[in-house]
Amino acid sequence: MRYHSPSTFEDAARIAAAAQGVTRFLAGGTDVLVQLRSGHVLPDDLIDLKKIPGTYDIAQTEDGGWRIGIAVPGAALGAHAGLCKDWPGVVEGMELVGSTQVQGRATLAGNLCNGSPAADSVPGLVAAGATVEITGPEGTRSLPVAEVPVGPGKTALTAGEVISAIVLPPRGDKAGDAYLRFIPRTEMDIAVVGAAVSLRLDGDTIAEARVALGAVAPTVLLVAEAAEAIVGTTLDDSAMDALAAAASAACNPIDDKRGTAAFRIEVAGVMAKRAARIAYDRAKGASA
Amino acid sequence: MPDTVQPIRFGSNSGQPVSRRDGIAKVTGAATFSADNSPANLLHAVYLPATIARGRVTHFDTAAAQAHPGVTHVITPANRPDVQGDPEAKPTLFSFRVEILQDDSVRYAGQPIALVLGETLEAATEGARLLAPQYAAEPVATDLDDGAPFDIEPGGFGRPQGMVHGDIDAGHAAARQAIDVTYETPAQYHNAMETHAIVAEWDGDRLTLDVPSQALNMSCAAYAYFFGIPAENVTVRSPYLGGGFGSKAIPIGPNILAILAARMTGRPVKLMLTRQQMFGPTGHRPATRQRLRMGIDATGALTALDHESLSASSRFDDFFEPASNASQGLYAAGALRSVHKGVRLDIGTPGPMRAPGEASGAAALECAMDEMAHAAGMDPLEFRLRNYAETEPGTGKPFSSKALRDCYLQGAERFGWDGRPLDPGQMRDEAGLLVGWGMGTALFPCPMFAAEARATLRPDGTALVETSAADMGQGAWTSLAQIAADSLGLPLDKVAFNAGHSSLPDGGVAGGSGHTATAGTALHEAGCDVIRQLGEIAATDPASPLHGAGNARFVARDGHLFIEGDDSRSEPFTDILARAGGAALTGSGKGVRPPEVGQEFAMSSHGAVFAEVRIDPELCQMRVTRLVGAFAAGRIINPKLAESQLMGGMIWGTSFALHEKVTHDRTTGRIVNADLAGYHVPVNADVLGLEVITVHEDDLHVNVLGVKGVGEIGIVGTVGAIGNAIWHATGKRIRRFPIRIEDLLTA
Ligand SMILES: Cc1cc2nc3c(=O)[nH]c(=O)nc-3n(C[C@H](O)[C@H](O)[C@H](O)COP(=O)(O)OP(=O)(O)OC[C@H]3O[C@@H](n4cnc5c(N)ncnc54)[C@H](O)[C@@H]3O)c2cc1C
Repeated sequence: MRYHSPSTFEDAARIAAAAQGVTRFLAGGTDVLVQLRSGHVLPDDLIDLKKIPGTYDIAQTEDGGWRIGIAVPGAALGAHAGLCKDWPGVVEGMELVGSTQVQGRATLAGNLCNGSPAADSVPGLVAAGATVEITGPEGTRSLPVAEVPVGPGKTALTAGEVISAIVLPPRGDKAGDAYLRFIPRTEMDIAVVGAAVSLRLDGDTIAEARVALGAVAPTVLLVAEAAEAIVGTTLDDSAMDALAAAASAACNPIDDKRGTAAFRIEVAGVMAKRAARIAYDRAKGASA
Repeated sequence: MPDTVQPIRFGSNSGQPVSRRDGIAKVTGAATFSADNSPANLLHAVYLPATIARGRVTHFDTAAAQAHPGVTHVITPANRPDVQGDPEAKPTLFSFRVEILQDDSVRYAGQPIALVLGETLEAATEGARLLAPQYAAEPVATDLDDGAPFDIEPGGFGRPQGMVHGDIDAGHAAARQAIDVTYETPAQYHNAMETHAIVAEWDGDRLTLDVPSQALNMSCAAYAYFFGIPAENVTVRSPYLGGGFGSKAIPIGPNILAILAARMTGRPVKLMLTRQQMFGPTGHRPATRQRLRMGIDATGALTALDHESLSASSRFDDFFEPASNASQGLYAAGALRSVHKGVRLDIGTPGPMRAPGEASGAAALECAMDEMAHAAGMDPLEFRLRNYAETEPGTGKPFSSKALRDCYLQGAERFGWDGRPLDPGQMRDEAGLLVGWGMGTALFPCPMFAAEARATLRPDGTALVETSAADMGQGAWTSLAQIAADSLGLPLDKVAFNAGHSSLPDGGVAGGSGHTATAGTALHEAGCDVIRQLGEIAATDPASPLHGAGNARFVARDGHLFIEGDDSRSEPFTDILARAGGAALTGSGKGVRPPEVGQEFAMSSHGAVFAEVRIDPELCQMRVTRLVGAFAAGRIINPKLAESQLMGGMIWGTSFALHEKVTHDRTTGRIVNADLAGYHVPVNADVLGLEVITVHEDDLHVNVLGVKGVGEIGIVGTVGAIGNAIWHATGKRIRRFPIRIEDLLTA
């Protein structure tokens, strides 16, 4: 195994493009090192991204959004007042990842690129309409987070491409987001269902909404029907029922030891309703 | 033999909540566990576990493994050096047949099939991977339904004895109301935090082992057997143990292979199991299916308690979970029967784990009691009190002591059991969660294994006490030192404790919750022996104020010898010893229970556990929000440690009720969740309210100390209490553990 620690994303992309065998980027390493130690993935080239300047930074963009470095660990997101105020749902998704120890290392980009259907930070990013900046041999491009995962363990990144930043749009007024996950145990477990909702109000009425579900299909789902069910409403009971029905209908889950398919479908509706309620209250000014 | 032991006076050390003496060493990393030892010239051993559960290994790529840099030896059944003992034999009381590469057969997944030695752990690990075994696999059976049940031939360890008292058919016939219910418990694996590990080093025909052991001297004898050397040639060092739960009392095959490798290479060899390998040749609690038939008369008195349990074991050895034993000593039924049946599967040999029999048996029994109480329209506590056994059910033997009624009452009061609605589904909290309350009774026998100890009083007035047993993490070194200090009449800080080494007096077995009672009695006797000798010296020394007190009893207190009942005459130990020539005094003691005491009395610890659960009605997510356990276990030497033990046991119970279970792949027989990401135990956040009450209990028979034992009883009763609380919250009676969310959604 060759270990590389480039100092620019361009170099990282070049090394990755030239690599022949199994290649992995190393961010926090909380997936990669575990896979390596257990023998599941034995990279020929391991490209450490943490030496690249700026990868630990969280910066406000000119339009009022946020640009998050790819080495920023969950704990640092949680400690960032501006981000927590604007995107509490994105932050709480990432903060659910692992334990205190894991929080000191694990990153958004790693969570996204590991490609788990149950990745906890991804529904929040998708609901937020986040994008990633990708550096590749051909230069840089931008892609919605929703389009990054293409299947379990698979991403839309092509050989040599590396995510160089996560970008959140400006939050604006009267808006809120939330992420909830369901696990059988109280902590340290893999999501059986995750649900994220981001919305904006016009008065008491929902003007815009995005609903994303995790762990109920091969990739995180952005469920347009679920969003439509609550847009134009004040989250009254019938809107909630329609939201739950739409969320459940979108699911295509598997059975595993953490939960049966039927159970996941049922729970997805409940979680979507509860996340919507929290996002709504946050949009009305409740603190996260 | 008098029918009561003299109650002994205790000094100021016992009963104190002293913090564990090894605490600082453990939290600073100064405490060395077995695998922390790395002697010079060390070789690392890694065994390859079978990935099928039944069949033969047909090929290894030995050349590839051998060629890997750093790999020194590859050992397979084809080239394994001879051992002197028979792998199918059982050299000690606690032994199982071992897999030590005696042939190419595979009897369960995870069985060691080859051993690779390397200069580094990484080299040996890679070498083992490169062996790439090929198999001729056969169809496997890993489920209780996959085998044909048979009656177990009783006979000692692992083969439980059934029992009948009274006319069971008449008991069933006399019932005005009856239930017939079947419960299931899963296979569970011990998974102590410290995985099994060994460092083996030979010097000629003498063998030194750093290996965690719950029974040091017994394991010396077992290892000696396999290598054809006398037991005294084997030294086992086991100062600290990161948990054993029953699995570290029994020599396992991988350890024997490591010793063999050390002998073959002439170098010290270290082998440490990975977490995944802890789901292999290290024993486990087998799956059970238990049928309970109960009947009551018009007053709610049990006319029949009929408990039949089916337990899995391996195809090649016998350990059957003695689950139906749980019904033998608890309730005063008109007629009692317990039956044990077995089924053989392609699994590793099970073994004793965290209250073997009592935990699984009480899980079923206590839920069934709840079902019976509900059928009778009685409160579950009232129903248990209605069937309270004043003497041992069936035999009529008196209990050496039994404060179970106090456990019920104190536990119920602390919990606030009064006013609990009889019917399920009646309680909700402010957040709309379903709330349920359940209870269970706990019983655990108090065995004593034989132990020996030595006490040495030094001329400077300090003492050294010694016994071989390890501190398993339960704090034995602290509470045993408290006992020893009292017997010597010294403050605790003047007493050094030396243990965890097989050259010391045989500390017996730290198991069966009998360690404090057994080793403690030995230490107490050793201290008393020293004081008796000291008294003889003083009484015959004309210069001593105690001179001439020959027939009086001496009392040792705070480094002074007194005449009992006469505080005006005393002398410091140091003065007595100084005049006697300044030599140290050594005494010895044994901890055994005279057999006649065991015949005369029924002896058990008792307890009552009350549980509250809250359940999300939409998601059926279950949380155990409160557990209150009240336990009567004789004298409590160290309340802080004892309560921690009991709390730990109750957390085991939560784990049993809601989390722990292995799942086998039905085709290959492999365990699919063989790590702590897949094999769940509660995390801290799952343990909310947890409260322990130790109920006062004087026992004049169980041993001179009046100590019973607290190691395992916490799990007993807790499982049922939680299952019953879930029923009480939801009205859904789940008869399969662990209880899962899906069970509630679909039931
Ligand atoms: C104990 C434990 C508990 C966990 N609990 C959770 C949990 O609750 N929820 C959850 O979702 N996950 C959990 N995880 C998984 C893991 O922590 C997360 O997925 C984490 O976010 C991964 O981030 P990382 O920085 O450590 O990624 P790494 O391990 O460094 O990388 C992961 C993958 O992403 C790729 N990658 C990393 N950075 C980039 C980049 N910039 N561009 C392109 N590809 C990249 C790597 O090649 C690799 O394939 C847990 C892990 C552990 C060990």
